[in-house]
Amino acid sequence: MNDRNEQPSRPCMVDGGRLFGSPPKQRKRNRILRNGMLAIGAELLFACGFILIGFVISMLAGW
Amino acid sequence: MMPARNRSGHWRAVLYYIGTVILCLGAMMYLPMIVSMLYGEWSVAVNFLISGNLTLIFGGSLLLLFRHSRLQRLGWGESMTVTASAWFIGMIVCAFPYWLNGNYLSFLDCCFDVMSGFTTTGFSLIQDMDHLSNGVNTWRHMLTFVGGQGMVVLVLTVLTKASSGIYRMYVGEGKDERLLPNVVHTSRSIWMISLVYLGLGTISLWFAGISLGMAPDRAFLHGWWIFMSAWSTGGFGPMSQNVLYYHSELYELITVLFFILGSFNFALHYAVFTGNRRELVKNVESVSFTVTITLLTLITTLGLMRLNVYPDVVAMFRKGFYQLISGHTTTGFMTIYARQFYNEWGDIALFAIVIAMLIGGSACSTAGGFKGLRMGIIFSAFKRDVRRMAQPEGQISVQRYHHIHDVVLDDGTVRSAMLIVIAYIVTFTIGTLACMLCGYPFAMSVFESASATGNVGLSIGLMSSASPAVLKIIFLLIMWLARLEFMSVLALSAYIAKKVMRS
Repeated sequence: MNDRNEQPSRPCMVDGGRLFGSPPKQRKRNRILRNGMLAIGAELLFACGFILIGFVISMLAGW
Repeated sequence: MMPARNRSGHWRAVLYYIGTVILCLGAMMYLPMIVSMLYGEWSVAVNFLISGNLTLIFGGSLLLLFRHSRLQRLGWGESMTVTASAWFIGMIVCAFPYWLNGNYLSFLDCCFDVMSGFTTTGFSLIQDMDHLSNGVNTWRHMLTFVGGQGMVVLVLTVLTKASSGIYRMYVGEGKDERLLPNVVHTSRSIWMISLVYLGLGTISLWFAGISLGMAPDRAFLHGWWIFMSAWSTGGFGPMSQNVLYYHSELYELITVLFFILGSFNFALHYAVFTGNRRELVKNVESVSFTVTITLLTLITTLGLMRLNVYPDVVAMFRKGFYQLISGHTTTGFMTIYARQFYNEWGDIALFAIVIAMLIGGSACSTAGGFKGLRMGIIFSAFKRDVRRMAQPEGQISVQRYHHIHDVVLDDGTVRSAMLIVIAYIVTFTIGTLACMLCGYPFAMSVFESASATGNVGLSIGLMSSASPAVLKIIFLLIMWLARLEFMSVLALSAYIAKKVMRS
């Protein structure tokens, strides 16, 4: 059984035996990727809010 | 150790940095050349090759001649002179491919279009836009994309080491916020955020284009061009009808999303990308934008409704709201014909759009106008002064606003925000007066001048290749002044005046 804390600086191997980077580097990259994707989602959702404001006002005016 | 300030040699450093900008612009000309070659537009490719080579020789010569002065310590005035001159000289060298390709009636029109692209305004004087070569279209949209991020930002991205004047050049470009302590890293972060969205936006618009029945390669090019224009709040489009050409709700929705994001502060993007997502709703600029867009949408809708311009809700939303938010983010994409503003929209809706164009997007973004940050600061100062009047004498109250972190409002910040807003209003007034002196009606003059001052590009049909040359020059200068937020151009004017007086 692999213990993650046993040798934290040891390079880890992924499928196919390709060197993928040490666990701290991998964790950092995963964090950046996760933050990036969440940021894009949050920003797009926020921009949709303005479109919704416009639509609701136009709808109220039409009504 | 930084070399001491040498007054006799600082102009060499100014020329060195201008050379670096010119060199980068020259290198950029090879991309449209490649696009032209892929589509067999050989004469266009040759024109880009000639322009690129000449620009590289010019920029490279400046770089080599003055390379020993690159670590010269530049003061505020000299750094701002570099920025303003680089934008102006950059305009002239980037106009060469246009001139060689013969798409304009005069070299002034070429320069006007380049400045319009660099400043992300979006006015265009090009002839027969619907039949432009792919190379020239790529060049137009690249100019607006690079101008949106900033030319100094472009140069900083390729520099390995920042000297003391670099941050001042960056400030001179109207971007006075550091995302990271190092200004070179800040520039790279700005480009990184823009490139992530470039990929995402181009793919979205590519698929939208294919769904409209466009050929895959044409859909890709249109997606790429429109995204560059949307993200940099530029407003250029490959067709003369602009976004109206596509007649697509999906295309309109995607462009709105990306030009709203493009008008956000890069410091806000950076905060969100580093995990601080709550900043989106707390930031003073987001709050300011929400308030102004709500009020102005109400006014626009009331104005359009009063004249019964659009018969149903969907048309009202697609036409009314789209032009308004395009004006507020200073993008300039249009889904109506220019003359419809004047002939159909009426005074109330035009008033709302003019106010939206003058307010503009966020500071340290690709957008123009007064900026939401300054609106927030002025409103906070107003609130503080009203509160002071109501409280007992001698009691001290502290007013704060939230921009990335809580900031205590001081008189210096309020003064500098007010100065810039006053400068914008004076410039807008001069532009309006110039249009009226050229014989255009008041409403058209106000609209077109607000569009140029806010670097928007929405047009009521006043600015065209048939406009008087003097008006084109005035608008070119207004776009340049407003994009650099006045200080750099004023520093350059003072620098030139001092030299003339001495000689």
